[in-house]
Amino acid sequence: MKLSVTLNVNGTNYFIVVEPHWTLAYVLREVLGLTGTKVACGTGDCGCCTVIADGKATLSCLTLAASAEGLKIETIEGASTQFKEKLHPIQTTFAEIGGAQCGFCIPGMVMNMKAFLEENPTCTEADLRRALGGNICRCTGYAKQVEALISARDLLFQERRLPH
Amino acid sequence: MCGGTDVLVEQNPTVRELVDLSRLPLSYIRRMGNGILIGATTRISQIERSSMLNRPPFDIIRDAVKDFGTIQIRNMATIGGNVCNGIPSADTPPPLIALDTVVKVEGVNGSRKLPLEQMYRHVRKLSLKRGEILTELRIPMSPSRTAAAYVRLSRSEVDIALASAAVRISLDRRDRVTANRIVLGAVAPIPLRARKSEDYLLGRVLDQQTLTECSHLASEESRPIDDVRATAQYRREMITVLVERAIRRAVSKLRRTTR
Repeated sequence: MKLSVTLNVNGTNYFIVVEPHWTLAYVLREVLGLTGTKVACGTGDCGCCTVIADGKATLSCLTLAASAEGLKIETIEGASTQFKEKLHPIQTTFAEIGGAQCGFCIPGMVMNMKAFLEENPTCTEADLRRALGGNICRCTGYAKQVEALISARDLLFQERRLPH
Repeated sequence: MCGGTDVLVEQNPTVRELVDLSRLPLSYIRRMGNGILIGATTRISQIERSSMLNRPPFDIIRDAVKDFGTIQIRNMATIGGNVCNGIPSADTPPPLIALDTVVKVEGVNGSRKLPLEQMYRHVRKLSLKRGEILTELRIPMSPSRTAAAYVRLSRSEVDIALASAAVRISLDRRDRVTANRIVLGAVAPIPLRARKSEDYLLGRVLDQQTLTECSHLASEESRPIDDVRATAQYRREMITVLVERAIRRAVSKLRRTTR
Protein backbone atom coordinates (compact mmCIF):
# COMPACT_ATOMS: atom_id res chain seq x y z
CA MET A 1 0.00 0.00 0.00
CA LYS A 2 1.24 3.47 -0.86
CA LEU A 3 0.06 6.74 0.64
CA SER A 4 0.31 10.18 -0.93
CA VAL A 5 1.31 12.77 1.61
CA THR A 6 2.37 16.39 1.63
CA LEU A 7 5.22 17.17 3.99
CA ASN A 8 6.17 20.70 4.90
CA VAL A 9 9.90 20.69 5.54
CA ASN A 10 11.85 23.88 6.14
CA GLY A 11 9.04 25.90 4.59
CA THR A 12 8.82 23.86 1.37
CA ASN A 13 5.91 21.54 0.55
CA TYR A 14 6.95 18.14 -0.80
CA PHE A 15 4.35 15.93 -2.47
CA ILE A 16 5.57 12.39 -1.99
CA VAL A 17 4.39 8.81 -2.00
CA VAL A 18 5.31 6.74 1.05
CA GLU A 19 4.83 3.28 2.47
CA PRO A 20 2.79 3.44 5.72
CA HIS A 21 5.71 2.11 7.78
CA TRP A 22 8.29 4.61 6.51
CA THR A 23 9.58 6.83 9.27
CA LEU A 24 10.02 10.55 8.91
CA ALA A 25 13.77 10.07 9.39
CA TYR A 26 13.89 7.63 6.45
CA VAL A 27 11.88 9.94 4.20
CA LEU A 28 13.95 13.01 5.10
CA ARG A 29 17.20 11.21 4.34
CA GLU A 30 16.38 8.78 1.56
CA VAL A 31 13.52 10.47 -0.28
CA LEU A 32 14.18 14.18 0.22
CA GLY A 33 17.97 13.87 0.43
CA LEU A 34 18.12 15.90 3.64
CA THR A 35 20.89 13.82 5.20
CA GLY A 36 21.72 16.31 7.95
CA THR A 37 19.25 14.43 10.15
CA LYS A 38 21.04 11.35 11.49
CA VAL A 39 19.77 7.99 12.64
CA ALA A 40 21.75 6.11 15.28
CA CYS A 41 19.68 3.92 17.62
CA GLY A 42 16.38 4.00 15.78
CA THR A 43 14.54 3.42 19.05
CA GLY A 44 14.18 6.91 20.48
CA ASP A 45 17.01 6.72 23.00
CA CYS A 46 19.83 8.75 21.47
CA GLY A 47 18.23 11.91 20.06
CA CYS A 48 20.37 11.97 16.87
CA CYS A 49 17.27 12.09 14.65
CA THR A 50 15.67 15.06 16.45
CA VAL A 51 13.81 17.50 14.22
CA ILE A 52 11.37 20.24 15.20
CA ALA A 53 7.69 19.59 14.42
CA ASP A 54 5.29 22.46 15.10
CA GLY A 55 7.89 23.98 17.42
CA LYS A 56 8.45 20.78 19.43
CA ALA A 57 11.62 18.68 19.44
CA THR A 58 10.51 15.40 17.92
CA LEU A 59 12.23 12.09 17.20
CA SER A 60 11.97 11.53 13.46
CA CYS A 61 12.88 7.83 13.86
CA LEU A 62 9.69 7.27 15.88
CA THR A 63 7.42 9.41 13.72
CA LEU A 64 5.72 7.85 10.73
CA ALA A 65 6.05 10.02 7.64
CA ALA A 66 2.32 9.62 6.96
CA SER A 67 1.56 10.96 10.45
CA ALA A 68 3.75 14.00 9.86
CA GLU A 69 1.43 15.46 7.24
CA GLY A 70 0.23 18.92 8.24
CA LEU A 71 3.10 19.54 10.64
CA LYS A 72 5.68 22.27 10.10
CA ILE A 73 8.90 20.29 10.13
CA GLU A 74 12.23 21.93 10.59
CA THR A 75 15.52 20.05 10.08
CA ILE A 76 19.12 21.06 10.62
CA GLU A 77 19.22 22.22 6.99
CA GLY A 78 16.63 24.89 7.84
CA ALA A 79 17.88 25.80 11.30
CA SER A 80 20.08 28.71 10.27
CA THR A 81 18.13 30.41 7.48
CA GLN A 82 16.87 33.28 9.64
CA PHE A 83 20.35 34.21 10.88
CA LYS A 84 22.68 36.53 9.05
CA GLU A 85 25.85 34.43 9.21
CA LYS A 86 23.83 31.49 7.87
CA LEU A 87 24.53 29.74 11.14
CA HIS A 88 22.26 29.41 14.14
CA PRO A 89 23.89 30.84 17.31
CA ILE A 90 24.10 27.28 18.68
CA GLN A 91 26.09 26.26 15.60
CA THR A 92 28.35 29.31 15.94
CA THR A 93 29.13 28.67 19.58
CA PHE A 94 29.58 24.92 19.05
CA ALA A 95 32.15 25.72 16.36
CA GLU A 96 33.91 28.42 18.39
CA ILE A 97 34.02 26.55 21.70
CA GLY A 98 34.55 23.07 20.27
CA GLY A 99 31.25 21.41 21.10
CA ALA A 100 31.58 18.80 18.36
CA GLN A 101 34.07 16.01 17.96
CA CYS A 102 32.91 13.32 15.53
CA GLY A 103 29.80 15.42 14.94
CA PHE A 104 27.29 12.67 14.38
CA CYS A 105 25.01 13.61 17.28
CA ILE A 106 25.28 17.35 16.71
CA PRO A 107 22.38 17.98 14.26
CA GLY A 108 19.92 16.33 16.65
CA MET A 109 21.44 18.16 19.57
CA VAL A 110 21.22 21.52 17.80
CA MET A 111 17.57 20.93 16.94
CA ASN A 112 16.60 19.82 20.44
CA MET A 113 18.39 22.74 22.06
CA LYS A 114 17.13 25.24 19.48
CA ALA A 115 13.53 24.34 20.36
CA PHE A 116 14.43 24.38 24.05
CA LEU A 117 16.07 27.83 23.95
CA GLU A 118 13.18 29.27 21.96
CA GLU A 119 10.79 28.15 24.68
CA ASN A 120 13.14 28.86 27.60
CA PRO A 121 15.30 31.89 26.76
CA THR A 122 16.03 32.53 30.44
CA CYS A 123 16.95 28.94 31.34
CA THR A 124 19.71 28.15 33.82
CA GLU A 125 22.74 25.95 33.26
CA ALA A 126 20.98 23.20 35.24
CA ASP A 127 17.97 23.47 32.89
CA LEU A 128 20.28 23.19 29.87
CA ARG A 129 22.00 20.13 31.29
CA ARG A 130 18.67 18.47 31.97
CA ALA A 131 17.41 19.27 28.48
CA LEU A 132 20.59 17.85 26.98
CA GLY A 133 19.59 14.52 28.55
CA GLY A 134 17.67 13.92 25.33
CA ASN A 135 20.85 13.67 23.27
CA ILE A 136 23.56 11.10 23.73
CA CYS A 137 27.09 12.01 22.64
CA ARG A 138 29.79 9.39 23.00
CA CYS A 139 32.75 11.66 22.21
CA THR A 140 32.68 14.75 24.31
CA GLY A 141 31.54 14.31 27.88
CA TYR A 142 29.26 17.32 27.28
CA ALA A 143 31.42 19.95 29.03
CA LYS A 144 32.16 22.03 25.91
CA GLN A 145 28.60 21.59 24.71
CA VAL A 146 27.15 22.99 27.93
CA GLU A 147 29.60 25.88 27.70
CA ALA A 148 28.58 26.50 24.07
CA LEU A 149 24.90 26.32 24.93
CA ILE A 150 25.23 28.87 27.72
CA SER A 151 26.97 31.17 25.29
CA ALA A 152 24.29 30.56 22.63
CA ARG A 153 21.55 31.27 25.16
CA ASP A 154 23.17 34.60 26.01
CA LEU A 155 23.55 35.51 22.32
CA LEU A 156 19.93 34.68 21.55
CA PHE A 157 18.65 36.45 24.64
CA GLN A 158 20.63 39.60 23.85
CA GLU A 159 19.38 39.63 20.28
CA ARG A 160 15.85 39.43 21.53
CA ARG A 161 16.34 42.40 23.84
CA LEU A 162 17.83 44.67 21.17
CA PRO A 163 15.41 47.26 19.79
CA HIS A 164 14.42 46.64 16.18
CA MET B 1 -1.30 4.42 18.40
CA CYS B 2 -0.62 8.07 18.97
CA GLY B 3 2.84 9.24 20.02
CA GLY B 4 4.56 6.11 18.69
CA THR B 5 7.27 6.03 21.34
CA ASP B 6 6.31 2.50 22.41
CA VAL B 7 4.59 1.01 19.36
CA LEU B 8 7.28 1.98 16.86
CA VAL B 9 10.10 0.85 19.16
CA GLU B 10 8.63 -2.61 19.65
CA GLN B 11 7.96 -3.25 15.94
CA ASN B 12 5.71 -6.12 16.89
CA PRO B 13 5.57 -8.39 13.80
CA THR B 14 2.00 -9.47 14.61
CA VAL B 15 0.74 -5.91 14.15
CA ARG B 16 -0.72 -5.69 10.64
CA GLU B 17 -2.37 -2.28 10.81
CA LEU B 18 -1.93 0.85 12.87
CA VAL B 19 -4.51 3.56 13.36
CA ASP B 20 -3.06 6.96 14.19
CA LEU B 21 -5.25 8.66 16.83
CA SER B 22 -3.23 11.86 17.00
CA ARG B 23 -5.71 13.91 14.95
CA LEU B 24 -8.67 13.15 17.20
CA PRO B 25 -9.70 16.14 19.36
CA LEU B 26 -8.61 14.39 22.55
CA SER B 27 -5.75 16.61 23.59
CA TYR B 28 -6.98 18.69 26.52
CA ILE B 29 -6.87 19.23 30.27
CA ARG B 30 -10.16 20.64 31.59
CA ARG B 31 -11.85 21.31 34.88
CA MET B 32 -14.96 19.28 35.66
CA GLY B 33 -16.48 20.72 38.85
CA ASN B 34 -13.65 20.26 41.29
CA GLY B 35 -12.25 17.36 39.33
CA ILE B 36 -10.18 17.26 36.16
CA LEU B 37 -10.58 15.69 32.72
CA ILE B 38 -7.54 14.76 30.67
CA GLY B 39 -7.92 13.72 27.02
CA ALA B 40 -6.16 10.51 26.05
CA THR B 41 -3.89 12.06 23.41
CA THR B 42 -2.64 14.84 25.70
CA ARG B 43 1.15 14.88 25.44
CA ILE B 44 3.26 14.34 28.54
CA SER B 45 4.87 17.77 27.93
CA GLN B 46 1.45 19.45 28.13
CA ILE B 47 0.84 17.76 31.47
CA GLU B 48 4.28 18.82 32.66
CA ARG B 49 3.32 22.47 32.09
CA SER B 50 -0.35 22.45 33.03
CA SER B 51 -1.26 25.08 35.63
CA MET B 52 -4.43 23.12 36.32
CA LEU B 53 -2.30 20.30 37.69
CA ASN B 54 -0.11 22.37 39.99
CA ARG B 55 -2.07 22.02 43.23
CA PRO B 56 -2.51 19.05 45.55
CA PRO B 57 -3.54 16.37 45.05
CA PHE B 58 -3.48 16.67 41.23
CA ASP B 59 0.17 17.73 41.22
CA ILE B 60 1.07 14.06 41.78
CA ILE B 61 0.65 13.66 38.02
CA ARG B 62 3.27 16.34 37.46
CA ASP B 63 5.54 14.55 39.96
CA ALA B 64 5.17 11.48 37.77
CA VAL B 65 6.03 13.11 34.44
CA LYS B 66 8.94 15.20 35.72
CA ASP B 67 11.44 12.43 35.03
CA PHE B 68 9.52 10.87 32.16
CA GLY B 69 11.98 10.03 29.38
CA THR B 70 13.59 12.95 27.58
CA ILE B 71 12.22 16.24 26.22
CA GLN B 72 11.63 14.64 22.83
CA ILE B 73 9.84 11.65 24.36
CA ARG B 74 7.69 13.94 26.53
CA ASN B 75 6.74 15.96 23.43
CA MET B 76 5.58 12.81 21.66
CA ALA B 77 4.30 10.35 24.26
CA THR B 78 0.70 10.70 25.39
CA ILE B 79 -0.86 9.99 28.77
CA GLY B 80 -3.38 7.64 27.12
CA GLY B 81 -0.55 5.69 25.54
CA ASN B 82 1.36 5.44 28.81
CA VAL B 83 -1.77 4.19 30.56
CA CYS B 84 -2.75 1.72 27.80
CA ASN B 85 0.67 0.26 27.16
CA GLY B 86 0.20 -1.82 30.31
CA ILE B 87 3.87 -1.92 31.27
CA PRO B 88 4.36 -2.42 35.04
CA SER B 89 7.01 0.31 35.27
CA ALA B 90 4.91 3.02 33.56
CA ASP B 91 4.99 6.26 35.55
CA THR B 92 1.47 7.64 35.13
CA PRO B 93 -0.82 4.72 36.16
CA PRO B 94 0.09 4.56 39.90
CA PRO B 95 -0.58 8.30 40.49
CA LEU B 96 -3.77 8.19 38.42
CA ILE B 97 -5.01 5.15 40.36
CA ALA B 98 -4.09 6.90 43.62
CA LEU B 99 -6.44 9.72 42.52
CA ASP B 100 -9.29 7.20 41.85
CA THR B 101 -9.22 8.01 38.14
CA VAL B 102 -12.05 6.66 36.02
CA VAL B 103 -11.39 6.05 32.34
CA LYS B 104 -13.80 6.62 29.51
CA VAL B 105 -13.59 3.95 26.85
CA GLU B 106 -15.30 4.31 23.49
CA GLY B 107 -15.84 1.84 20.74
CA VAL B 108 -18.14 0.65 18.02
CA ASN B 109 -20.73 -0.36 20.64
CA GLY B 110 -20.83 2.97 22.45
CA SER B 111 -18.94 4.22 25.46
CA ARG B 112 -18.42 3.00 29.00
CA LYS B 113 -16.58 4.08 32.11
CA LEU B 114 -14.53 2.01 34.50
CA PRO B 115 -12.05 2.68 37.30
CA LEU B 116 -8.55 2.77 35.83
CA GLU B 117 -7.50 0.23 38.45
CA GLN B 118 -9.84 -2.33 36.88
CA MET B 119 -8.45 -1.80 33.40
CA TYR B 120 -5.28 -3.74 34.21
CA ARG B 121 -5.38 -7.53 33.95
CA HIS B 122 -1.75 -8.53 33.55
CA VAL B 123 1.47 -7.27 31.95
CA ARG B 124 0.28 -5.64 28.72
CA LYS B 125 -3.18 -7.13 29.12
CA LEU B 126 -6.03 -4.67 29.50
CA SER B 127 -9.76 -5.15 29.92
CA LEU B 128 -10.32 -3.16 26.70
CA LYS B 129 -12.18 -5.06 24.02
CA ARG B 130 -11.33 -5.22 20.33
CA GLY B 131 -12.46 -2.01 18.69
CA GLU B 132 -12.34 0.03 21.90
CA ILE B 133 -10.04 2.95 22.66
CA LEU B 134 -9.44 4.92 25.80
CA THR B 135 -10.56 8.50 25.19
CA GLU B 136 -10.53 10.31 28.53
CA LEU B 137 -9.20 10.16 32.08
CA ARG B 138 -11.59 11.55 34.67
CA ILE B 139 -10.05 12.50 37.97
CA PRO B 140 -12.63 13.12 40.70
CA MET B 141 -12.44 15.87 43.31
CA SER B 142 -10.84 15.07 46.66
CA PRO B 143 -11.83 16.20 50.17
CA SER B 144 -10.01 19.22 51.57
CA ARG B 145 -6.68 18.53 53.28
CA THR B 146 -5.75 15.96 50.65
CA ALA B 147 -2.33 15.69 49.05
CA ALA B 148 -0.58 13.08 46.98
CA ALA B 149 2.98 12.30 45.98
CA TYR B 150 4.80 9.96 43.63
CA VAL B 151 8.36 8.81 44.10
CA ARG B 152 10.32 6.48 41.88
CA LEU B 153 13.65 4.80 41.96
CA SER B 154 15.59 4.46 38.73
CA ARG B 155 19.19 4.16 37.61
CA SER B 156 19.08 7.52 35.86
CA GLU B 157 16.50 10.22 35.23
CA VAL B 158 15.69 8.91 31.79
CA ASP B 159 15.58 5.21 32.70
CA ILE B 160 12.34 3.43 33.59
CA ALA B 161 11.38 2.93 37.23
CA LEU B 162 12.83 -0.01 39.21
CA ALA B 163 10.07 0.53 41.72
CA SER B 164 7.71 3.38 42.51
CA ALA B 165 5.07 4.43 45.00
CA ALA B 166 2.10 6.76 44.62
CA VAL B 167 0.35 7.88 47.80
CA ARG B 168 -2.73 10.00 48.44
CA ILE B 169 -3.53 11.05 51.98
CA SER B 170 -6.51 12.94 53.44
CA LEU B 171 -6.25 14.21 57.02
CA ASP B 172 -8.88 15.48 59.42
CA ARG B 173 -8.45 18.44 61.78
CA ARG B 174 -6.64 16.28 64.29
CA ASP B 175 -4.25 14.98 61.63
CA ARG B 176 -5.76 11.53 61.51
CA VAL B 177 -5.89 9.77 58.15
CA THR B 178 -9.46 9.80 56.83
CA ALA B 179 -8.77 8.37 53.38
CA ASN B 180 -5.72 7.14 51.54
CA ARG B 181 -4.40 5.26 48.56
CA ILE B 182 -1.07 3.49 48.30
CA VAL B 183 -0.28 2.29 44.79
CA LEU B 184 2.96 0.53 43.89
CA GLY B 185 4.57 0.50 40.46
CA ALA B 186 7.00 -1.96 38.83
CA VAL B 187 6.64 -4.55 41.63
CA ALA B 188 3.76 -6.62 40.20
CA PRO B 189 2.34 -7.42 36.75
CA ILE B 190 -0.07 -4.49 37.17
CA PRO B 191 -0.08 -1.27 39.24
CA LEU B 192 -0.72 -2.66 42.71
CA ARG B 193 -2.99 -1.20 45.41
CA ALA B 194 -1.37 -2.00 48.77
CA ARG B 195 -4.70 -2.52 50.46
CA LYS B 196 -3.40 -3.85 53.77
CA SER B 197 -1.26 -0.76 54.22
CA GLU B 198 -4.15 1.46 53.19
CA ASP B 199 -6.42 -0.16 55.80
CA TYR B 200 -3.69 0.06 58.41
CA LEU B 201 -3.29 3.82 57.91
CA LEU B 202 -6.98 4.67 58.25
CA GLY B 203 -7.73 6.62 61.42
CA ARG B 204 -4.07 6.85 62.44
CA VAL B 205 -1.82 9.83 63.05
CA LEU B 206 1.28 9.65 60.87
CA ASP B 207 4.06 9.19 63.43
CA GLN B 208 7.29 7.36 62.72
CA GLN B 209 6.08 4.01 64.03
CA THR B 210 2.99 4.17 61.81
CA LEU B 211 5.05 5.05 58.75
CA THR B 212 7.48 2.20 59.38
CA GLU B 213 4.71 -0.34 59.91
CA CYS B 214 2.75 0.87 56.89
CA SER B 215 5.72 0.79 54.53
CA HIS B 216 6.65 -2.73 55.69
CA LEU B 217 3.11 -3.90 55.05
CA ALA B 218 3.29 -2.43 51.55
CA SER B 219 6.56 -4.19 50.94
CA GLU B 220 5.02 -7.52 51.98
CA GLU B 221 2.16 -6.94 49.57
CA SER B 222 4.46 -6.27 46.61
CA ARG B 223 5.17 -9.10 44.16
CA PRO B 224 8.31 -8.03 42.32
CA ILE B 225 10.43 -10.07 39.93
CA ASP B 226 14.17 -10.32 39.28
CA ASP B 227 15.20 -8.72 36.02
CA VAL B 228 18.12 -6.98 34.37
CA ARG B 229 17.48 -3.78 36.34
CA ALA B 230 17.17 -5.14 39.89
CA THR B 231 16.48 -8.20 42.02
CA ALA B 232 13.08 -8.85 43.52
CA GLN B 233 14.56 -8.64 47.00
CA TYR B 234 16.04 -5.21 46.30
CA ARG B 235 12.76 -3.95 44.87
CA ARG B 236 10.90 -5.22 47.94
CA GLU B 237 13.30 -3.45 50.27
CA MET B 238 13.09 -0.26 48.25
CA ILE B 239 9.29 -0.26 48.52
CA THR B 240 9.61 0.34 52.25
CA VAL B 241 11.77 3.38 51.52
CA LEU B 242 9.61 4.69 48.69
CA VAL B 243 6.29 4.35 50.50
CA GLU B 244 7.57 6.18 53.57
CA ARG B 245 9.12 8.85 51.36
CA ALA B 246 5.91 9.30 49.36
CA ILE B 247 3.80 9.65 52.51
CA ARG B 248 6.23 12.20 53.96
CA ARG B 249 6.22 14.16 50.73
CA ALA B 250 2.42 14.18 50.54
CA VAL B 251 2.18 15.38 54.15
CA SER B 252 4.75 18.10 53.55
CA LYS B 253 2.65 19.35 50.63
CA LEU B 254 -0.33 19.57 53.00
CA ARG B 255 1.69 21.59 55.48
CA ARG B 256 2.67 23.99 52.70
CA THR B 257 -0.78 24.51 51.18
CA THR B 258 -3.45 24.25 53.88
CA ARG B 259 -2.93 27.07 56.25
